[in-house]
Amino acid sequence: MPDGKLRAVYWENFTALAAVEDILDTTHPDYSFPSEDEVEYTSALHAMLIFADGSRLIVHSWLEIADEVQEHDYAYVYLDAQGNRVFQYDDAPHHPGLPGYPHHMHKGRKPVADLDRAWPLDVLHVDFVTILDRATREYRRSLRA
Amino acid sequence: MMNQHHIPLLKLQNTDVPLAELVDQYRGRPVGFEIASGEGVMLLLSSEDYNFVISAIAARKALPTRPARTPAEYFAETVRILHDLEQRHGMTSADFYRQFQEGNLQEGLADYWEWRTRYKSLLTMKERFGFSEAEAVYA
Repeated sequence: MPDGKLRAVYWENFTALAAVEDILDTTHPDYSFPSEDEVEYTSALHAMLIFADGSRLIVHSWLEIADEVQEHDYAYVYLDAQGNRVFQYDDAPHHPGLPGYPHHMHKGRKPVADLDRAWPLDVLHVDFVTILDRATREYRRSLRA
Repeated sequence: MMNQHHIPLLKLQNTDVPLAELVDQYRGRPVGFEIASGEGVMLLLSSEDYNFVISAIAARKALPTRPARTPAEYFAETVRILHDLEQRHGMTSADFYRQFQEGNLQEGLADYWEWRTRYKSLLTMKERFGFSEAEAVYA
């Protein structure tokens, strides 16, 4: 049963998001982030973060309450302004040969015909704050390019 | 002896963030008391706690969120979204989840990510609140 841990995680996530407010387009009609009650009652995090350059981070994650809150059945997909995938982190159990199974990532555009190659994680673990930081760094890198 | 110079004082007054709720959120457990809105309160906080509370208040002011609803409303919304996904893809959510987890459905469709998480959310809410799909549909 929830005992406040989900709310604590929510506020960690929300304050991390506020720290990058300057590069978010919160007025975009697609921008969406849950209230704390939604996360508390649904045990899930669904968000669409729009960055100032039109890129977006799509978030779907189920939050399991154990000793700590852990994210499962998740997908974090970061798309550029043209809708091309930049990266994707998910834990679909489709790549048992990879270290860190079932957690893995995909890089670059999703292939139309070929298999979508999966890679081991390039982060220690997947959670909202970690992937938000990853997307933010990608956003800033693309501005410099 | 505690050095009081390192313990900042935080005064919350006329804030739209109920203090008990804020403490509850941060501490991760119910605090078990209520403070009437509009009352001024003095708190002794560690520097870490103080910075977190300030960040939380700033975040709430700066960023929009979807409106808060009741558990029953969230459950009904989840049922409706799952129903739409089931209609669109021609299978039940339970079948979808089983087939996806077994690898019979690949990761291609964007719908799958939301479907997977919503289904787990549905199961969690049913267990936690005792809701049923029938109640959600006819509420």
